[in-house]
Amino acid sequence: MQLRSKLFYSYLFFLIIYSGFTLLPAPSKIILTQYHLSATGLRLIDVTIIVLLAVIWYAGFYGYGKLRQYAQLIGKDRDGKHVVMLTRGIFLMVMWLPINSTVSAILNYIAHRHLGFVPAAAIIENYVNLVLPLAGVILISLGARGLSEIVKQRPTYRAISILAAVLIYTGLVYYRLVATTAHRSSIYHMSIWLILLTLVAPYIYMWFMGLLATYEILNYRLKVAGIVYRKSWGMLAFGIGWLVVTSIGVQYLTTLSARLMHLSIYWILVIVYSLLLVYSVGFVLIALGARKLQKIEEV
Amino acid sequence: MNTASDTMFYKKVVAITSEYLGPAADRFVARQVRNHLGKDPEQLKKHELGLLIEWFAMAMALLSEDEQLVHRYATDLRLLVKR
Repeated sequence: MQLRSKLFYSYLFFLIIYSGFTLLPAPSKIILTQYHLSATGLRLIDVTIIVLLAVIWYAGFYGYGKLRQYAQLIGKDRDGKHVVMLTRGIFLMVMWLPINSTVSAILNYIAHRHLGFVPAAAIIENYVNLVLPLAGVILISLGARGLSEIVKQRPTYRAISILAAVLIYTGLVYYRLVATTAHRSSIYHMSIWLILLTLVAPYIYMWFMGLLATYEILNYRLKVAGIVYRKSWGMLAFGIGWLVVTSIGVQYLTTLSARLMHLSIYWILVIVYSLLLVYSVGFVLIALGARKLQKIEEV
Repeated sequence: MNTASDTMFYKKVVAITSEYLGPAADRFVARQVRNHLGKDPEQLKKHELGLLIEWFAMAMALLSEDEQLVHRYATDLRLLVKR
């Protein structure tokens, strides 16, 4: 990511807004009492989270920047069109992190001052958390499908069967966890049917599309012609797969965070941010893979 | 003007390169021809490829540390010139 690029300014913009809405308002007394923290202690946690998020977001913007550079080089060619589609999907996956955190910080700030806004804030947060990665995964799957058509490969019967089985079990467990969340109505502020139809079902659909796209990209990397090209694609394919699979883990955890309330705040933070750090490794792999592929287009 | 045989020859060079660079082969060959000969890639002639083979091999060596692979690529192109 170059200094003074639009991407870098967007990164700074989100970081400043997020930091402002997190650090400037006085700490909530409810949170201080609930987690037995002093105001300084809470601020220290906030600063640690901001630094961690800054690193994770930077990895995302950096990975996307490198992939975009490669996509721009080959954008008009047959494989390039599909790589452009993948890049757009990755862009939404990258933007999901800062937009979700920033919107959440702003909504919490408003809800803290106007308690009547709490239900609306929770609903908006849930849908913002869903929409960006859903659109991102759909674009990634379109790109992946295009690439698999280049190598004339369709998913095998066995792969589809395994995918269906994994999705059925993952989906059912997810449904059970959401439906039995304690104080569900005060967390989601929606009826169970609305939660199922507009949150649970789209998440499961997204995971299906994401896993299928991962399979198709890894398959493309195995079947595409060109010994050197195939090797160079390895890191990028692995990075995209990593991103999709770990994003499923992050979504599972964040949408079910209400079930983790019995844990201490430190454990919740350790779990969520460790997973986000693992997630951001995907962006680093994408950046390394894109650099390898870009080299082919520059010599 | 491109003759059909020039275009055919260019396609053969791309086909050989595809074994190494897959979908990036066409772009790779076109770039080498444009950069080193300054001409439309599809106008590439057999005797001109002879002059370019070292450049092709050097570029491939930048992409792969496998010396045998680079050598094989250069050999494949030389065989095409001799054919």
